[in-house]
Formats: sequence, structure tokens, C-alpha cells
Amino acid sequence: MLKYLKEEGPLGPRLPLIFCPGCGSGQVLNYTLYAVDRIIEEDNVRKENFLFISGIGCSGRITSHYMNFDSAWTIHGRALAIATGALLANPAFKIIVFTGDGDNASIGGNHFIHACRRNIDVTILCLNNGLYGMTGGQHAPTTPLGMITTTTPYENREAAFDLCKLAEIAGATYVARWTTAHPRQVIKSIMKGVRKRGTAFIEILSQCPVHEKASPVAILKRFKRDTIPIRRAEGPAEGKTLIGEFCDLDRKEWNESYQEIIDQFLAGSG
Amino acid sequence: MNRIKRLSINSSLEAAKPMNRLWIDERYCKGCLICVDVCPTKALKASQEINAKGYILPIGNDMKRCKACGLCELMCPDFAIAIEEDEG
Repeated sequence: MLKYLKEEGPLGPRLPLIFCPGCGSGQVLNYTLYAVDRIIEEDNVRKENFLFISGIGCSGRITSHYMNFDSAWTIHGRALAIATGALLANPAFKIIVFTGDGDNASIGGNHFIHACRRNIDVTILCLNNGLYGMTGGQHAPTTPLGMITTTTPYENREAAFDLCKLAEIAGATYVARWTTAHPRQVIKSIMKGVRKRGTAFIEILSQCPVHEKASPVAILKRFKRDTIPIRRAEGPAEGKTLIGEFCDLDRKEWNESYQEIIDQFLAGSG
Repeated sequence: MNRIKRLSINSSLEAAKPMNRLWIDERYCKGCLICVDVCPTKALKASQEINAKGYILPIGNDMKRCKACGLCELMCPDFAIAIEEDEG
């Protein structure tokens, strides 16, 4: 997948990636490039039609530093606002937004729910590691109960956001949750999300080996152990995280509904 | 295939034919050893040596077992592994 990466920049080589050893961000970048590669081949989409947008945080470093595509590294939490603008300017863009859990759920929480409500045609990849990794491992709105972070040294006692439920209720048309230990499923979901006309929200549980103080291999094994696919789960699975596709429906896309008004007026004036 | 030619420094785990080949890019590898764990046939193992950057790199355990499933290449966070399937 190195053909899609900028190996050399103006200030010298850009690779190896800036992420810590075993970080999930590099894995998600790898999976996304696999999905994009297959879409370019199968759907005959040009490379120029893709646009990658990210906010701030570890996930923000993914796009413009390394990807050899059109990409934007934007302000904290506002990646979706900028994606909305880009989509207005060129509705043909296939936009993939990389956000972290802090970026998407707390700082950009309102942008997130309103992007889902409007059903704008973007694919949101949320790398959820349950804490603020770049600033030193503080407690985030998605920190699971009982997790120890630098600001909750006696265990976290606040309930975590379920971002998939939030996206589903706010009106996203495709919602899925996977972990970095499920590569094939993530790739399939990203392809489905990019092909979907409407908001696709894919939450990817990711590992932060530095702040969780565990080896990446151990965290990946925990992901496999502590998750259960939704089609196999009967009722709420005790202590396990549900993974899988939560919703896949069709609803009118934001740009399309405005295009109808434009067409109405054009027909009236002509 | 294009990528493999471009790598200047790499450790080839090549042996007698016919066998799949695995290329590990020492410039990019950070020694997280996810590849060693995910390999279903245990064709890789952790090296005993620590390299100049302080990382323990993966090396070949028994490359005859490698089925070129591509899981290590897929799950590598640092784009450091490439698999060349044996054509013979």
C-alpha cells in the first residue's frame, strides 16, 4: 500500500509513521488504503475523487502527513463541518473523515450529531481508544467503566458514550462498530460506507499501548475476547461489547434534497 | 511487486525454492510484534537481538509454513511487511 503514501516530503522522509509502536492508527490507515484500493479498482473511481479530512489528535496525523490523496488537516472537532463545505463545493467527492473519540464525541459532538441528522454523504471513521492519547492519556467521554487513566487514577466511574447508538438515533444511514483486531470486517465496512449515499459512521475500537500500559498484542487479544458479533448476541451481552453492523438503511442525502429545489426553480424559470 | 523493488534496506527471509518470501523493512518496523502473534502458522518469531533503534524485530521461524495469507502485511501498523508469493 506504499503507493498511496507520501514516503518523501519537502523536509525529508516522512515514514516511518509518527505513531507509537503498535498503535491502532497505523492499522486503520492500512485498512483504509486496502478499502480505497479496492474501490478504485472495482468501481472505476479516480484517485482525485477521494478527499480525506481529519481533526486534531493522534488520528489527525493520519491524513495530510502520509496520504498521497487530497487531504486536509483541520481544526479540533470541526472536521465534519469542513467536510460539509467540501461536499457543497463538489458533490462528487468521496469524503472519508478520520476522527478520534475525543475529537468526535466531546469537542465535535454537536457537529457529529448534526452531520448524521442532515445525512451528508461522508464516511466517518472514529478511532475509539477510550482516552485522549496525544495530550497524555486523560479520561474521555468514551472511557469504559472501570478503566484507569491519568485523570481517573481510582477507576473511571462515569458511563461511556455509545457512539453507534448516538449516530443511529441522530439519523446516520450506515452504522458499524469493529475493532482493529477485525481487519477484513473493517475493510468491508469502509467499502460499504464509501459506496453508501449518506452518512456512514464506523467506530473502530483502537489500542493505545502507551497509556493503557499493555502490549499491543495483549490489547488485540482482549478485543477479540471482549467483543461479540451482534448477530450472535441474544439480548444485551453481559460485559461484552457488541460489534457488527447496527443499521443499514436508505434515506435522502442532504445534497440531493437541495438539488431538488434547484431543479424545481430551473424548471420554473426555463 | 512494485514496492519490493523499492526497498533498499531489507532482510529477506528467503530460503530454497519453492517458498513464499517475506520482506521486513527495517527502516519502518517498530517491533510491536503484532505480525508474530497474528500469523496462523507461526512462520514468524521475535528476534533475540535488539536493533540500533532499540526495537526487537520479527524474523523467520520456519518460512516453509508460510501460506502467504497476508495477515501480517494487512495488520502491520507501520507498512513494514511485504509478502511475495512464490509463483513456481
